[in-house]
Amino acid sequence: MGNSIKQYMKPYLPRYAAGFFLLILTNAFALFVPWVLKYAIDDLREEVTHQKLVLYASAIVGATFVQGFFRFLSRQTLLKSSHMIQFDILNDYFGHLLRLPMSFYDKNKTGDLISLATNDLKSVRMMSGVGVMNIMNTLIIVTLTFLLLLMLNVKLTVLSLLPFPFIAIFVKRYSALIHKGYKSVQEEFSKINTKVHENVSGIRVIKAYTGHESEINDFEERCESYLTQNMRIAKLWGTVFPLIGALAGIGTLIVLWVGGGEVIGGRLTIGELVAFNAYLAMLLWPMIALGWVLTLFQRSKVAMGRISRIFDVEPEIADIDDASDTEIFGDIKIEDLSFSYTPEASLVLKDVSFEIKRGEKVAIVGPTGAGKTTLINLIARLYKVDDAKIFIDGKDINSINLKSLRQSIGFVPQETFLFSDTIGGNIAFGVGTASKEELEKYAKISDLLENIEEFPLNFDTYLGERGVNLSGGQKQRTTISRGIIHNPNILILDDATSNVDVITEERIVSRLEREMTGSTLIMVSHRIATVMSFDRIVVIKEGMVEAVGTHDELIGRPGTYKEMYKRYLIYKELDLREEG
Amino acid sequence: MRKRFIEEDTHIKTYDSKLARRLLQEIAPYRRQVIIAFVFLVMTSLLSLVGPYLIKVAIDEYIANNDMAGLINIVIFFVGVLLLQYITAYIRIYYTQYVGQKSMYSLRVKLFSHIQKLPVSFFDRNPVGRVMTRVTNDIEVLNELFSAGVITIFGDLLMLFGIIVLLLFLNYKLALVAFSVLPLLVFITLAFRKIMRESYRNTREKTAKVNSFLQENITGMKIVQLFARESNRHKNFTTINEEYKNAFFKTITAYSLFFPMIELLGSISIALIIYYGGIQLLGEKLTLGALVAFVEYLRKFFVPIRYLTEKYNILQSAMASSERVYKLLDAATEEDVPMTAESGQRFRGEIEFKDVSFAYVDDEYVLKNISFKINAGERVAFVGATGAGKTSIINLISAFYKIQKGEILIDGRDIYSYPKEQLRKNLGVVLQDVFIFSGTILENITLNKKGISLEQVERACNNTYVCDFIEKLPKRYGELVGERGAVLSAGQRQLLSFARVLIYNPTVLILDEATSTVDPHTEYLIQKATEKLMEKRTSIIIAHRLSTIQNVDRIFVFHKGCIVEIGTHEELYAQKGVYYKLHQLQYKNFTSDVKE
Ligand SMILES: Nc1ncnc2c1ncn2[C@@H]1O[C@H](COP(=O)(O)OP(=O)(O)OP(=O)(O)O)[C@@H](O)[C@H]1O
Ligand SMILES: Nc1ncnc2c1ncn2[C@@H]1O[C@H](COP(=O)(O)OP(=O)(O)OP(=O)(O)O)[C@@H](O)[C@H]1O
Ligand SMILES: [Mg+2]
Repeated sequence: MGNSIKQYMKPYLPRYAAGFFLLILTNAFALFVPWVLKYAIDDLREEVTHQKLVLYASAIVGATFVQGFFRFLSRQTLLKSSHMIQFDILNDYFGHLLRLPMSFYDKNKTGDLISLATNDLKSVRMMSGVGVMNIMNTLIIVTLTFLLLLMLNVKLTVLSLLPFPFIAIFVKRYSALIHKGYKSVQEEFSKINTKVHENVSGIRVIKAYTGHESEINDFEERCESYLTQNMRIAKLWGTVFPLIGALAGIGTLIVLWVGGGEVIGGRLTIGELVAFNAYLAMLLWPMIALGWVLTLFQRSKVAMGRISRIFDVEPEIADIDDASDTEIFGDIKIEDLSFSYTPEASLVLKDVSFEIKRGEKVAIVGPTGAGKTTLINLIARLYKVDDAKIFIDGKDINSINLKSLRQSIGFVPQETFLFSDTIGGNIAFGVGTASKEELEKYAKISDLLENIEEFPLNFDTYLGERGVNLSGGQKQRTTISRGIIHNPNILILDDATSNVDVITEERIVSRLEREMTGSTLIMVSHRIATVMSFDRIVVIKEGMVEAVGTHDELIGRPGTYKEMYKRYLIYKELDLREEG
Repeated sequence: MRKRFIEEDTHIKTYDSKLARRLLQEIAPYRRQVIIAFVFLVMTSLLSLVGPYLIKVAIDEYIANNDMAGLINIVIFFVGVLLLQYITAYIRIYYTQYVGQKSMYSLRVKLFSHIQKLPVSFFDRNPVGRVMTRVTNDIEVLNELFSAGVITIFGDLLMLFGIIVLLLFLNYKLALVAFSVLPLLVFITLAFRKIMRESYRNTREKTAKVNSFLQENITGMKIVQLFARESNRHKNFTTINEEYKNAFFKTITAYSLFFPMIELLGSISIALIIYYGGIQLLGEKLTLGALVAFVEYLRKFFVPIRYLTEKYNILQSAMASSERVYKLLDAATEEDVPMTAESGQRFRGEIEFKDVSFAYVDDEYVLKNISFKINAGERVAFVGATGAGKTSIINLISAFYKIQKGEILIDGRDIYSYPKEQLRKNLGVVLQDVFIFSGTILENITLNKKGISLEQVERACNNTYVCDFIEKLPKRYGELVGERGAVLSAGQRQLLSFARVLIYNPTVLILDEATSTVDPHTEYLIQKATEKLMEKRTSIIIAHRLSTIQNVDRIFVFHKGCIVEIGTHEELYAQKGVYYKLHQLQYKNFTSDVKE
């Protein structure tokens, strides 16, 4: 995995070399044309024959044809390389993202990550394609032209090239300024991006709370600073771009003045003067382009810097070398586990220890923000766990092959996320494809089948983004089906029925118990009725294990669970009273 | 083809006079600057034509006659021209940028404001990424059109025209010979235009595919990793990436062919000049200077043509972008009535559904002939199986969607006859789908509205138990919560979203499973605390935990889009219907042997 542009260009060095060679050929033929012109004009001044005119004319066309041929090849070679490089970077980029842990995604915004893969990568691609081609072109043209000019007239060459060092200094100075300008423009633009992303994602909230006015104001402000930054760049461009042209124009001027004098003095022919001017004109474009290429280089440097920052993030959750594929049965042991999301932050879990035997049904209960989700996230190794804290089947979780670990876990996260695929596709996500029978079987377990059968397209019903066209409970049940379709040995449900009515929940839990016999079941829940029959209940409070035990044991001693139960009873009694 | 829920993206036209006219309207407010830019553009173009002519004069009149003094005059004149060229170019660049930036600023703000008014159904069917692209990238492309494309195309065309005129004037026979390649040029350009349009469409499509793939897989990364689908996803991505690359390869090949072809035509033209010009020169009908000028002008003629195609590309993408931008601008907004003097009035809070039927899609009805009436100040609860249509009712009361049949009345008046702003200011809805913005806690509660101070928020939150968790955060209300509230627990996110309603002071309070992921103890505390909030307010509470709805006046039981039971807790319990069953399950296993 590389992270500098040089590394990515390296495999294509032969292509670049070939491109360079082709460009030399292209330019050699391109430069041949004014030379022919020179002869033609000088001949025309004196005596010329019909045959000679035909010869000159066909030489010009022939040279251009050959030049065109090589130009075609060189563009193909160089520009395609840049797309190959883009392909490589993009592939590595996504591959890298796939390996980064959740702590990375907590800190980075989706919009920014995408923008890196599109906008920033585009700068890099432009640089490694058009940019490199232009630089090569400039280099070749300048060298060849310089030689030709010298051959034509040394004095004139020295004088007419006088402005060019100034151009170089000038371009260098300004490109630094423009570079800085672009950086601020980029930053402002990404702020606009973020704003729109947030606004549209949360549009329902904004509508419900009539927040549109303040949203518009805020947006206007951001656009204004973007405008200001852009106008600053415009002024810079306005200064630099024409000035390069003007400075180069001075070259032509010198040719006319000094060169004209030389012709008058008989030291130069008119043909040579015309050719000289033509060559000088050929220098103009590459010089102007150079300015543009320099900003391109600057931009791509910034861009590649930003991309490398992502590549530099170590995938801290990775397989150690001897992590092997193993079958996992589902004994889980947690020993003195402490955890915080960032080194600075306070501990979210403190000295958590408990054990789950394979096939057991364990509930995790506790107040909001106690650390339940955190705990099960760690069991699935979504965040980095210290060594020798969590053991599965007696093995340290960090030594277990990540893929076999995750494939033996069925995870239903607290927050539902669905892809904008079909319902069937979403349920079969973990296994790729599934037959209709399988889909039906697992949809039935989560009590979703009945709903799906009501949809005209059944499992082929397409979902909107994040499943917007399903009800809250339907979304949750889809994720439950998705979590069990690969028959995991450990099933983890994180408050996965919070949006489901009790009748349905009851059905789901009993079907899970029936169908998933032998699997370890860990269920985070806030509903006493659901968890009271479980083998064991772990009570988490403020990051610590307050108690572990069966329902009967826990209600026998004071604590969070007993309070929960008392409240449940009060309601129950209340209802009974009302009934009577 | 299966019907996708997400709407297809639009197709691309190249040029559309209606679109062009609308675009021109965007720059209309900057007429003065446009005129300035245009005048200076014309000047720059004309000035660039002076050079070769000066060379002709220099050769024919001075160099040929060995007149050094005259030559120096020409040179001085040339300096003046260069200086002018510089100044005019600066002014042109500045003003075109000015117009482009300013008009795109307005268009962007206009588009964003328009988006705020689109109906919820629009957002159901259009992914966030797409809407976002309209406001950001598409407008950026248009900007490029203004600052680099359109106006310079005028300049280029003007210059081409100027060169044709000049050459005809210099020597019309020779000019005709030189331009004999023009028909071929037009033919080639047109042929390439077609190819490039096709390849442009293709690259755009593939780019969009890469983007949406990344978008979805990055947001769903947790799921991808949990299900160990990394290698499968990577494989899929490689395929998409490959297509993306190949699409560009085609474009590159087309351009690589086009460039040399134009060059070749240019040199054929020059060769013709040399040949015929040479013959004319021999016949003394042409000066050498004129011949040189001819060659120079032709060179100037073919350079912009090469770049014209590049600008054509900008034009093409700009057209595609503007089409999409305007399509979004034309998307029907929520039907609304303007705010009037009475719109500030607060509702009493009586809500009535009269035989309402509603479908999100075509005729897939999710609510069927619903009728009920909630009195002002009454507290009701909606219960029922998932997917029964409870949230849909809330969506209708918020006027997020239009109904197909029936009538919804608030305080006896049709709901759609109220301005949306008035309606929604009276409704305090805690949505089932929690959404947290990636700012601070405070910004999430106030939604960035000006004039709501931290003290106000603290006061509103005080003793409600909703904001207790905030007090424990290191930076309290200033804490950054990450994208979609990533650094909060799910329950905390729900509480945060609940807090928004505390400062809103609505007349109708609607809680759609507002505490479903909060622990029962906290829920109980909140429930007690919000009693006060509900006083004298109409309240609708949706909950699956029946404990949450202990104190409501009436309970509505939903089943498959219909209301099957309405009544007080006692009535429904006695009825031994759906509600009774729900109740039994929730409080099953009651064992009286648990003694205190
Ligand atoms: N935006 C939408 N577009 C299309 N169909 C929708 C949309 N939202 C909901 N539906 C469908 O409407 C039906 C009713 O959904 P609704 O959200 O009203 O149910 P609910 O009673 O609130 O359920 P839950 O208790 O699960 O939240 C469901 O079948 C759902 O698939
Ligand atoms: N990604 C994260 N980065 C930083 N802090 C986090 C992150 N996720 C959770 N926290 C914090 O860690 C604590 C525990 O959160 P966790 O999600 O584990 O709670 P929970 O017990 O699952 O609560 P709930 O019942 O609300 O789901 C909370 O205080 C929360 O603010
Ligand atoms: Mg949680």
